[in-house]
Amino acid sequence: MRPTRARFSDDGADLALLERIGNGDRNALRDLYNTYYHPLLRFIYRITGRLDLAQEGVNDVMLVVWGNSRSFGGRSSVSTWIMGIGYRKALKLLASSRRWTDRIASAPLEDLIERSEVLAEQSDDNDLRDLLDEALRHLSAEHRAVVELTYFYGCSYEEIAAIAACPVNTVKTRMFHARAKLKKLLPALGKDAL
Amino acid sequence: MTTEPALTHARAFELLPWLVNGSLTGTERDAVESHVRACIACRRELKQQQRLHSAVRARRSADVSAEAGFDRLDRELDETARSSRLWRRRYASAAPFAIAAAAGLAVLAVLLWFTPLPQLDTNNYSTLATAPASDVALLDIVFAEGATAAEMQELLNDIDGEIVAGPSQLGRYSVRLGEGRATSATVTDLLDTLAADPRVRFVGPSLADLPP
Repeated sequence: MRPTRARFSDDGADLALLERIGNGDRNALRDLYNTYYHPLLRFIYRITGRLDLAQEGVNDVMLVVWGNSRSFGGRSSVSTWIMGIGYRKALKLLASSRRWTDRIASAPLEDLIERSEVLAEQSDDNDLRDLLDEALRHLSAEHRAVVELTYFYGCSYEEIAAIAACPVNTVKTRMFHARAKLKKLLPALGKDAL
Repeated sequence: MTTEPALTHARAFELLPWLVNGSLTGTERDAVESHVRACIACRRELKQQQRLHSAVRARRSADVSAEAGFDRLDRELDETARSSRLWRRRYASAAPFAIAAAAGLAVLAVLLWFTPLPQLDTNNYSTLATAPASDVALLDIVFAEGATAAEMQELLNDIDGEIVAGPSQLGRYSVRLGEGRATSATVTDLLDTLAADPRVRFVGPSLADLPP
């Protein structure tokens, strides 16, 4: 059985809301906000690593949507457009804070690998999830975003390219390097492999 | 029955995450699946990516209410709208003045556009070396350094002239000629004569306006 893709919105409904937002309908903005709040919050949080930045980022994104809903050209789905705004906001917030980068730079990389090796022997997926949080922080923000968009949001590589405003080959390359680094950081990923 | 095009190992390996998340479609998905069936390295990698996929999806999301976030956004939009109205009101009161000023500037620009530029009147332009015009009745004279007041008066009497201005800082006097001497030929002769006079250091037709 094929895994189902993570989808959090319906494009037709989003378009209708966007049209009402273009006419200054604050209730439509509330509806769209409620639809996108958690996906955006999680996405920006996964990129920046800070909940306060993520909350700020969600409202920044929605302010852009409020001010630019009429200029939405329909070249992509509404969700791709909004996640693209979220991606750029997240990178901007991360660049301006810098504290997150400093924190992950000081994380003990060798400890992480060692703990993952122990985990591979014990075969505990809950612990793997905890270590994954830590391992993902060792990736660049762009690589984290591709992993998150692929595996949590179920985006195709074309959608990710549209969100990150880069060529599809760049998406594939980022994912390739992210996978390689995660495998190195998390030997537990390879346990029970064929 | 359709057959999917064969993929290289590198290309199939690269696409495995999107096979795992179910976003590959059509012949591309079929080609990757076909390659995975035949490739042990890709099957191993697929297994790892499935574990990674599960682990990423199982990670906890922040449990934060959207309501509080929207209330903040709502207040921010109200605040923005209020400052925008204030701004419009403040500048709306100044708008009539701005419009009047702009209109005034526009009228001035139009007037300037249609006003002919001042032409240099070459007929009236003269230098000290230019021959005096026929109606010249005023001379500029600088007396010689040692000239006494009596000598100066004597010279003025000779030319039927009268000092009407001066001396300037440079010692120049403006001298009006009597009516009988104000013809072009007379003035030209007079200038020659005065230029040769030892009581005069400099003489020429005056560039100053004739005083009333």
